[in-house]
Order: sequence, then C-alpha cells, then structure tokens
Amino acid sequence: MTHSHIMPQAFESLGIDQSSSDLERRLHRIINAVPGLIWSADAEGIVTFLSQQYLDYIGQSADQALDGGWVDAVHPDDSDGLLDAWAEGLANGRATEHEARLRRSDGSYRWMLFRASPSYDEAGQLKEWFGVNIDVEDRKDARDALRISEAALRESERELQQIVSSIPGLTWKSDAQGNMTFWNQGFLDYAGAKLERIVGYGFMDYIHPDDRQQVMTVWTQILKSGSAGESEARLRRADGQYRWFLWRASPFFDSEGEITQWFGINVDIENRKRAEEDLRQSQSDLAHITRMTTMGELAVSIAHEVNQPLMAVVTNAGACLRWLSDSKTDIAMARAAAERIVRDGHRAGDIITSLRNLARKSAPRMDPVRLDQVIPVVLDLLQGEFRRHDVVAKVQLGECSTPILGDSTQLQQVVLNLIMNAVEAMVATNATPRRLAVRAETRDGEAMVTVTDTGPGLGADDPDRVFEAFFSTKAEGIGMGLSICRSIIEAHGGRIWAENNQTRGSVFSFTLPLAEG
Amino acid sequence: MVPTAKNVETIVIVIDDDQSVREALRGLFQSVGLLTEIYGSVQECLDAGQLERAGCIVLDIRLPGRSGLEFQEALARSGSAQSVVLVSGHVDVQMAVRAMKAGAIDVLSKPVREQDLLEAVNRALARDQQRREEVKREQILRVRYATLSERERQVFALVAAGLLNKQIADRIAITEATVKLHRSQVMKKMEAQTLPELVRMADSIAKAGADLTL
Repeated sequence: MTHSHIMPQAFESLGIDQSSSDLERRLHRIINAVPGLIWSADAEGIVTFLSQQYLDYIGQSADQALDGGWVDAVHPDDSDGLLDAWAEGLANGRATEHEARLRRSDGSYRWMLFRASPSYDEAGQLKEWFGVNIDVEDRKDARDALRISEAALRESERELQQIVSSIPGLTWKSDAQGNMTFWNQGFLDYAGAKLERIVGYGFMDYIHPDDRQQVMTVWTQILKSGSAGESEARLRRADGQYRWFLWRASPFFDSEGEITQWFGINVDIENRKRAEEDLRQSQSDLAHITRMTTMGELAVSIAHEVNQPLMAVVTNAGACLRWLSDSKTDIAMARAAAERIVRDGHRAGDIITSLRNLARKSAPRMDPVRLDQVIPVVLDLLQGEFRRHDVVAKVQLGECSTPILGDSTQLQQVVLNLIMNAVEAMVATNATPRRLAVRAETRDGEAMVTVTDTGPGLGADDPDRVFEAFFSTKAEGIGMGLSICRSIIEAHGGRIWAENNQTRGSVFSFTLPLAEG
Repeated sequence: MVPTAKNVETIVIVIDDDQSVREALRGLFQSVGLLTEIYGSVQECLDAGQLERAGCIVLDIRLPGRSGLEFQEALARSGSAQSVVLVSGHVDVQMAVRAMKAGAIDVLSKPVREQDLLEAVNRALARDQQRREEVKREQILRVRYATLSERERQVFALVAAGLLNKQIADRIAITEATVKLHRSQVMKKMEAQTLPELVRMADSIAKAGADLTL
C-alpha cells in the first residue's frame, strides 16, 4: 500500500478537490511538515501508511515499517501496553491514545503520544484509522520531574509524620495565644483523648487537679515572656493513672519575627521522679535515724533537764500545801508557790515537746520558719549537756526574725549536730574554758548561722572533708552527722562549710535563703 | 517534825544553778520558817559573804564552775564545819561515798521528797546548833584559861593528868601547900565545881588545840 490510496479520503475530509495535483503536493508537504508522525491503518488495525517523517524517525523503509517494523521501533517495555490500547480502540471503534517510547534512528527512545481516530463512510461503516504520534519527551520529562518531586514531598511528609509520631515523647502545638491546636497520635493514645476534646484549653482536663494551677501559672508566664520554658506536671493516662512529665514549650516565629504558634514536647519522667522520691525518703529516714542516735547520746542530759522542773514542781507543791495548812495559812505565799508550779510544769512540757518534735518521723515540709525560734529550742535541750561538760554557751541571735523556707525539725537537727560536735570536740581536749558561741543573723537576703568552739580545730589540709560521708574523727562516730547536715542544708538551697578559728577551735557556718516577700 | 530556828542568825543557803529549783527550795524552807538565801554558783555565794551565817548549805553536786562536791570538800578541809546537804539529778555511789566522807549530812537525788529534804536540813541545823554551842563553850574555856598564870597552868595540866598534890609538888619543886593554893585558884578561875569537871575542861581545851603543856 502506498499513501496515494488514502489520499482521496484525506483530501475529502480536508475539503480539498482531489483532482488538483497542486493540492496533492501541498498536502504532501503539510503531512511531512506537521510536527508529528502521521500514519493510517485499515479497519482491522493493519498499518497501511507511515509518513516520510515517521519513516525517517524510525530509520526504516516503508516496506520494512509496514511489514511490522514500526512495532519493533516501540520500546519493548511499552509495546504490549500500546498494542493492548490499540486493540481496545479497535474493538470499540473510538478515538484512542496511548503513550509509548519510540526508537529513533540513532537508537535513542523518545516518548510519543500515539493518537488514533476512526474514519467512517456515509453508511456509518468504520473504514479506516488515522493516527499521529506527537513527541512528548520534553513534556514527559517535566511531568516526571513534577511527579518525582511530588513523590519526594509526600515521602518527606510521611517521614516527618513518622518522626513526629515516633518521637519518644508527647508532642503538641498551640496557637500564639496558647490555645491547644494539635496533639500527636502518641499523645492522644496516651491520654485516650480525641483531638476535639483537647483543643483550646480542654487539655487541662488531662492534667492532675493538684498541678493545674501551677501549669496555668507557668504557661501564662511562658506565653507572656515569648520565650521557651518548661515545668513538671502529672498527666492522666488512658487507664486513669497519672504519670509525671516534664513539659517544654518553644515559640515559632514567622518572617516578621511574630510568634505564630508554640511547639511543645512532654517527656515521661515518672521513673526519675520516683527515684528522686525514693532518694528523698531514704535521706529522710537516715536523718531520722541519726537524729534518734543523737538523742540517745543526749538521753542522760535531757533526763536531767526534765528532772529540774519536776524537782521544782514537787518542792513547790510541798511548800504550797504547808502555806495552806490550818496552823499558818498564807494564801499569798501559797499562790506564789502554785504559780511557780505552773511555770515549771510548762517548762517540763516544753522540753518534752521539743524532744517529740525532734523524734518526729515525717516527710520534710517546707514552711516559713524563724531561726530565732528554731535555735532556742535546741539550746533548751542542750542545757544539761552544757552543764555536764562545763561548757559556757553564748548565744547571739541578731536580727533574724525574717522567715526562711524550711523544715524546722531538719534545721533543728543541723543546729543540734553542729553544737553536739562542738561540745564533743571541746571535751576531747582538756583545755578550759570551754566556750561555745552560737550566732544567727540575716544579711544580704540570706540567714547565716555560725557555731564556734574552743576545741582542737579541724587540722590544716581540708576542713570541708568533715562533710563527707563516713568521715569521722570520733572513735564511736559513724561519720554521718555532718554529711546529713550538708544534704539538709543543700536541700534548703543553702551552703554549709567549716573553717579553723583564728585563735583556736573551729567555726561551722551555714546559710539559708530567706523566704520571698 | 518541823525544824525550828532557835537561832535567828542562822540561815539556810541554797546553791543550785537552776533558777526554778533554787526558788522552789527557798519557797519550801520559807514555809517552815527558815531564813533562806539562794545562789546560782559557789562563787556567787562566796561573793555574798554570808557563809558564816549558814546553819546548813543545800548544794547541787553539779554546778557550773566549781562543783558542789569540790566546794564541800574544800569547806571540810578548811575546818569550817558547816552542815552540808547535797542534792543531785544523778547521784552515783562513788559520789555519795565521797560526799559522806567529807562529812555531808545527806546526799539526795532529784526530784527530792520534800520530807526527806526537810529532815536532812533539820538534822543539819541541829548539828550546826550543837557545833555552835560547843564552839561557844570552848571559847569560854579559852578565855578563862587565858587568865591562868604560868604556874597555875602547870598545876592544871598535872591535876588533869591525875597526879596527887604531893606528886605535883615533887615534880615542879614547890611545897604541897603551894600546890593546894594554885589548885584552888585554878578551880576558881576555870569556874569548875568538881575535879571531874575540871578534867573534862582540860580535855576540851586539849582537843581545841590549846597549849596545855607540862
């Protein structure tokens, strides 16, 4: 078959008179100049014509190409698809198109859009097919690039999503005003919550009631400051259990430097918190044990100390009864004796109370505490000890009515320990007089307490070694006393240190920050 | 059994470093009509200069500075034999023995039963009374003895030693009549009614350390 066979119809469809050879030439030129490879096939789909451009493109002769050679020029990976599409088009007799790579004469493949349209006669019978292949290689490149970048985008989005959901923490997002807008899946799963429940300030329901106030305060502060911040709070798990979390929030700025939203992450610190709690508990237990040990050492002195007012009470009562006897009633004297009984009874009671407070075993509680109330209690307990060892105690409580935040039992323990150590140090040497000075004052926003003795001092090298656990200079000491003093003072945000006195003996000092306001 | 203050000059001194205790003790002693002075330490008491008037000293064994026990021992050594009652929060056997050796009337542990304390103080005051009377008697004898001449003292000593007039005359080489004369002078000056009484006086003077030599 040659192209002349198809000409008449083509010309017809173009509305051109077939008899004109001028036109024929013209059409020839058009066919070969159209930016596409023109072809035709019969109603069975057998290719009947390939334009010169087509033949040039695939580098085949017309005979070669029409004898199935054009199919060979289709990329082997694409030929099945192309032929299937072609078969489908043939079957339903409608215009069809398909993309496939077509080999150029130089051996390289370019993507072509194969388009075929059916042609019908007056009777509506399908006569033949006309087709054009349009080079879409460049468009295809661009489309592929787009598709690839879209795929890459989707991939990175997926990765991001994966990262966000697999971060070992609960992540969240809020708007600039602090309204919650997003919880990651992990967070929602943890709390057993739906996003719509937590948006805005609904998330507050999932915070432990005791921590809500604190979270609100910190969150408001962070929002106001516009800079990152963190705090700790308990969050309710889906099963109703609360766990401790460290939550952090960071602002996100737009190009203008305005905060557009906040990003946050909550990290589970329950185990750490529990370990801290255990540690605090053991420290508290240890402190209690050493306190009891100290009290044991003091037992004789304290018994004496309670005995004194008891002796006074008994004696006063005897006198009182005598003044009330018939022979020489003197109500004024009896009343004076009774008043002394009341006073001394209270004194004995006070000693018992201090003793009980010191023996108390309860979790440390931080309350506003005044040093000029804490220290005298300890000194009362130690009067007997001072007397027993001929210690002259001088107490100077300067301006120290400003409260500090602390646990009075623990602070009393520190003072008790330092004084007991001082007394023991002085008793160890036979040098007299044994002078003990206890001073307390507040200055520069902190309270300072010093205990000075006239004992042998601390030795030259490192006075602070005495605060190490199991460091003891005493034969019967276990070396825990001062180590516990240090942990107590440090837990109160203060410092404790030791130094040698200029003349003789040692000076132990500690500071405590004053309570705010 | 309520002690009575026979001698208004006699006072009870309380030394205890615990104010409540010493005030209570003063109250108790006042309720039985005893004049009482209270001090916080031995030094305070010495400074007050009232020690001579004390019929009884009630001392805490443990005192700041000089302890009660030391003070009591020092008092005993110096010969000023005030009666001492010791009181302490913790009395041990060793302390009690030490105190009693130094002549304490009693050692009582706090809190003291008031009856025990008053009895001890009463005994102390009684002993003090007795001691004061003895001292007074000795003083009188001493004054009388001072009026004797050298020869009369010689005769006094020999009479008290149980020698007969004749033996005395031989011993100091004077006549028996002169011995009789001296002897009656001694009896008169010493205000002795009988010979046994004179002998007892000699003993008292000797005990007080007077120079009763041959």
